[in-house]
Amino acid sequence: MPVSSELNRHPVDGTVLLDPQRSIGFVLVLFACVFAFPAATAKRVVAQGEPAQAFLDQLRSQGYYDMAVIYLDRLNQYPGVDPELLAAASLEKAQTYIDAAVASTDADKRDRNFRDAETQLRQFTRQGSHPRIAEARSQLGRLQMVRASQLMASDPTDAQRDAARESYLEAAKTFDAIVDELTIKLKDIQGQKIDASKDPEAAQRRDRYRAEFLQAKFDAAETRRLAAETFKDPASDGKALLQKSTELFTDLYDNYGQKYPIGANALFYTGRCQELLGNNKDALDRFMLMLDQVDADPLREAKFQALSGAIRLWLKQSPPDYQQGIKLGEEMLRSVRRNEQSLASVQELRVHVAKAYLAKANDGGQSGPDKNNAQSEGRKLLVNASKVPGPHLAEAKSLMADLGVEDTKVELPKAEPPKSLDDAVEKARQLLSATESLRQSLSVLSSEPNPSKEVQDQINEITKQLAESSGIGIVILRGGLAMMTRNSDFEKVNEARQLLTYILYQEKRYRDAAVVGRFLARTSPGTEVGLRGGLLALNSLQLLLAEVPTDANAGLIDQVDALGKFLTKTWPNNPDARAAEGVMIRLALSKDRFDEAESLINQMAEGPEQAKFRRLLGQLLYNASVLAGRDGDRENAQQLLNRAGEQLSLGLEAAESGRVDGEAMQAALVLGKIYLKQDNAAAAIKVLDHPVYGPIGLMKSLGPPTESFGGDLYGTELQVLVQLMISADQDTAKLLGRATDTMENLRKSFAGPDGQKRLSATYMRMAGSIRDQLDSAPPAKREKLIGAFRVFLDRIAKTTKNPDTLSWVGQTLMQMGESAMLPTDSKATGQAAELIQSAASTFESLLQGNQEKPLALQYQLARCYRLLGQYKKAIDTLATILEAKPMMLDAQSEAALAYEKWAAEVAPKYASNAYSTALSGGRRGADGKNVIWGWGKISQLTSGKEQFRDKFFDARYHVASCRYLMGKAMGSNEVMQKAVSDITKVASLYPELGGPEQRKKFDVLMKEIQRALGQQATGLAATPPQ
Amino acid sequence: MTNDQRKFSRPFLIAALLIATQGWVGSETAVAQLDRVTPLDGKAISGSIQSVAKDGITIKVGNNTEKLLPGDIEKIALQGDPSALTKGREFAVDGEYEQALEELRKIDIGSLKRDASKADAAYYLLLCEVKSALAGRGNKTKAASAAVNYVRTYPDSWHYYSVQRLTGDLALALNKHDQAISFYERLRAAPSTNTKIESVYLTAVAMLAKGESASALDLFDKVIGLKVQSPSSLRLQLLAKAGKAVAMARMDRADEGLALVDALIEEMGPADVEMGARIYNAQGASYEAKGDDEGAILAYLHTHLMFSGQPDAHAHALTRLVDLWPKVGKPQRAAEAKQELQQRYPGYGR
Repeated sequence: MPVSSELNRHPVDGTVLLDPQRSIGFVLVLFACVFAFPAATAKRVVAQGEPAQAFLDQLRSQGYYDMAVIYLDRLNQYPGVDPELLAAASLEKAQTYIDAAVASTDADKRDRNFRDAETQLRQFTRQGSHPRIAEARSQLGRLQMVRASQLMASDPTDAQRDAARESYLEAAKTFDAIVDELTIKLKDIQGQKIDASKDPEAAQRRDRYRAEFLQAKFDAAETRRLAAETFKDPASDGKALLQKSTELFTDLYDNYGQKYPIGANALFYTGRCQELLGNNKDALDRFMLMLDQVDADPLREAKFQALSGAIRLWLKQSPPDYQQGIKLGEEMLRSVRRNEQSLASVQELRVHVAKAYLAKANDGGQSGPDKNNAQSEGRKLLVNASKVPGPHLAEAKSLMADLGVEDTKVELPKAEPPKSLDDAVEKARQLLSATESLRQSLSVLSSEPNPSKEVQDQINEITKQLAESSGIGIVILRGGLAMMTRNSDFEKVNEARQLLTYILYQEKRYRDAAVVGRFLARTSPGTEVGLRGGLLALNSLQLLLAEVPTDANAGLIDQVDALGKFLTKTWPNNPDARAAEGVMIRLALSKDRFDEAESLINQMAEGPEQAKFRRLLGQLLYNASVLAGRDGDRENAQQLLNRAGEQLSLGLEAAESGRVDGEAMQAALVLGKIYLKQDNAAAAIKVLDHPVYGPIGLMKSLGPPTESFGGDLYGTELQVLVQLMISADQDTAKLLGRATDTMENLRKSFAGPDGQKRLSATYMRMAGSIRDQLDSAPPAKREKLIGAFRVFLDRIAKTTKNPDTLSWVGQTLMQMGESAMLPTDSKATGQAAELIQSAASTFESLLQGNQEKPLALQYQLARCYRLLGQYKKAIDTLATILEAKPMMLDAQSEAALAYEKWAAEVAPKYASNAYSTALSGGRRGADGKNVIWGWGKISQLTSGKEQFRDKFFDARYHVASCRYLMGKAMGSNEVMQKAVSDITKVASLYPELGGPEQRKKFDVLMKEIQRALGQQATGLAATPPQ
Repeated sequence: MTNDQRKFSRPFLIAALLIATQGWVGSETAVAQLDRVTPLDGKAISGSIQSVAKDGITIKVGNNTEKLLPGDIEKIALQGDPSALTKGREFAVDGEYEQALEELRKIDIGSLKRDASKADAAYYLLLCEVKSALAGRGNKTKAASAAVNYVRTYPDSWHYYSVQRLTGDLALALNKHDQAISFYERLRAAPSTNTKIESVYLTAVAMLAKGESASALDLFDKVIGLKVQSPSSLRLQLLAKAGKAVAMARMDRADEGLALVDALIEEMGPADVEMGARIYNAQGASYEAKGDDEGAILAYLHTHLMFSGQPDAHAHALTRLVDLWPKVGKPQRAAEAKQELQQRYPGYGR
């Protein structure tokens, strides 16, 4: 629904107030807004089902009023319509008729629509029990007000004045009736002593009645004031009405002024009544009292109006007191907010303050410059007010015409070459002053939520003027600077440069602005003008950075870096220059210059900003540590980790209670991980549980800062708990209880459609992380860790039936088992065997309970069997997998390995055959081909495929190994020689042999074969890597 | 500079400084640039894309490798994509085709380093061209040729099936129903179940357009009868129900169609524009079949006023309003609807 800026808004709730002295066009817009309020409070249907309210609003806003009425007639035929809306169909019809009346240009149609609206409202109010009854009554009253103001719209006849008065008084009666009815209801409710915490609905109803009661009381007073204004001489003929209105407004203020904005705002209206009665002193007192009310948003408009009233009265004094009006008016206009710029009350105030200035200009006692200045200020205000459509426009334009201002266009200097540097600076100043005025107008116009075409045209025109004037300014200043000589005033030169930087910056010509501003800073170090230039340049460079692609911004970053350093060094104590510190730190961090960033952070003043940067640095150091670890640089990784811990710890300790956000939660989680890596689980759990920044507690109050945070946090917490379990002095039962809860939290963190998938992925990562911990732990600790994990996993296995969790348990058990094996072990023994056996049992039970028998699970089980030395079971299981999915390469490798390991354990007479099967495959399928390929075919099929590079070299290694062992079992040097040939062929084709590690394996094997053949064990020396 | 200007410039500068530096922190925390695949029903997966083919995309995440089927992917982002491609892709995915075109036209496809980026850029250019043509703002025949060329140039693009669908949509808009059916049927070879279901649904839509309501109804029923779980497939079932209602209306079973539509409205989410438009157009068809012109007008007005973001359905609703308004004595509104149809969808129906 359009909201016009020319409306008087209700001091409490934004409802439009009526003023009889309006044009017909204005009154029509007014109608729309007066009746927009009830519809706006109606419940919107946004859930599933017929979107009735939204559709209805659309029909009305598009002018399909007839269809809206038809739709309301058949509303009960649509599914899912809110019953409350169904019951309020008459009220909605009334709204539709009112909208139609407002939109109509035909007076007869308009009247007919208003009549129909009234009929519908009366019909609705007869329902008696609908929650929107009071709203409907209020609408009825307002409708009567609107009809009255329509009659008063333009130069009314006596008959029209009488009819308007009658309608206002009808409206007053309607509001009186509402007040009476609600008084009874509220008294009744008062007796019930409602406790909002126990009966929120009753409390809500009470509050609604109270709001409606106050509104009706206000309207009852206002209609009487408006009725009085229908008289040509309200002070005399409307005296009784104004006195009654004053009485009602005063009652509202006295009884509710301290508690409700509507009561406080009533004060202004008592003043208005007194003004109409001619009691100027009383009126002024009340307006001033209104201005002294507390500073609260709902009172602001009434204050604007009160000050307008006060200025009006001061100017009526003899001699006119314009000074107070100017002083207070300027003060208040400066406080006007962006969203208030186009309010009717603000325009009214602008016009009144302008009148005060003009009164000053007309004061014979003023000197020439003061007079001109006052006239200029008044004109400026009138120009601004005239940019906004509204009822003030006629008066503003008339005053402007008196000043000889016909065209409100701002006069801008022309792009003529300057005569001198001084001339250029002077013209540029004028231009900036003029553009400032244009910018203010633009700001006022742009704040219009739904600008009309007229306003939009003005916006376009001003935008064009601004662009033109900036272009002119740049030309003039460049021309002026070109005239600079050795004798030019240095300050003037710098002023020209600063103006030029400023205009270039405003024009978004950031490269140019950066060049000029930087020059200014470098040539005027330590001065205010130099600093301003430098900051503008820094700002321009940063804005440029946002535009330039990352891969092309290296030069820009260097420029920002250099300028930032210069500014902080040259103006060390200036707070504006200090803003460059943050830029510098970010720059240093963006280039991984951690030492420099740390040093800059240390130089910052202590406080939240410094702490935030420390946390950022800490997290980046941690990231760098992880990367260094991946690259195998353990020493550097450890150093970075320690530094990250220090920074995060310092940054978090400075976090203030109640001001912690997601960023600090992330930082605390990272610190927890660091302590975990540093084998300090006690510190880790303290961080996670910290009362101020601990993410475990904050998850409950703030929620997760990112989608993946919950999973990461609870995964870390679990690992910390397991670490704690292996500490001697810990309450294991308590820790286990907490770990069970954490597992549940972890599971809940992965809600949503792909939650299970992500949970499984997290489990796999955790299993890998546990394996990493085990691998890097010394044997004694490893044993303890395995023990603790074991207890934990058993507990999990007992408390869940979730297949993903159980699969993770199995996977982790297997990883632990493998970790407990020695690299030379063919199969698991002791603790390792026990763990892998547990894993196998877990997988077996999972497979038993799953009809689909997932291949991945079967594969894991087969691996367990192979590691346990149960080769037949392993091969049986793998054959089943490969019958279903022959191309599952991991299963093919596992099957070939199982044959190979089995071969090592069979009786020597069977060994050569067994190795042959490992090489050439086994288990013939229905098509006569081997289901299990063996190492030979695996190496053939992976050859030359980059994605299977590692598999290929592994397979080639096993081909050679099997051939050698087969030859050894057969006692055949010829076969063993073939193994040598297997290796040399691969080495000649791929001298790197898949990397240093794999090459070393080949080398060791080669030496072993050479020794077995009685040759010199030279290994791969004959085939050096290229 | 005057005092006023100083007052103005200082806080402005500081505010701008803060704004300008805000974006940096986030970007710095990333350890490394990665590729990203965003599934239709889930969160983006970051990693290294290993392979892109018409049957899916393989992405390596840490030590794991995941394969996503094309019908389950919303979009991808590749390391090294120029910002015009990133922005253009986002606009296109959001249905902002004109803005997307503005960005995508800045790209020299030949200069892109990765084949997948080339195929992606070319696809979104094609998508914009096709969508504009379908909305009546471009040449449909030319767009269809471009689609065929795309498949020739990028035969293994992960957009392969989307392009088949777009070609079918163009054929349907050109009233070449058999060709549309043929293109839609190709979707059945797609690896994603959802795309296979979509194939059946679209074939039914084309048959409905061809006038084969009974066959269309059978196919809609086939979609409706499937046991599916994914949100995308469930949505297709709702669309199939809307299609079935239209088929019923054309087979003198308007009351049954209306009952179906009512059930759909009860389930309908307010944010799904296409769904809303199809449902209310189905309601319009049902009311028309019953001779209830006012009901039909109200139904098509739902599409016109609330779900106009679905161009083909909106254009259809406007077309029906052009015919219906005179029947309730509002020829002026018919003229307005016609004017809007011609302005917004100048090539619609041709």
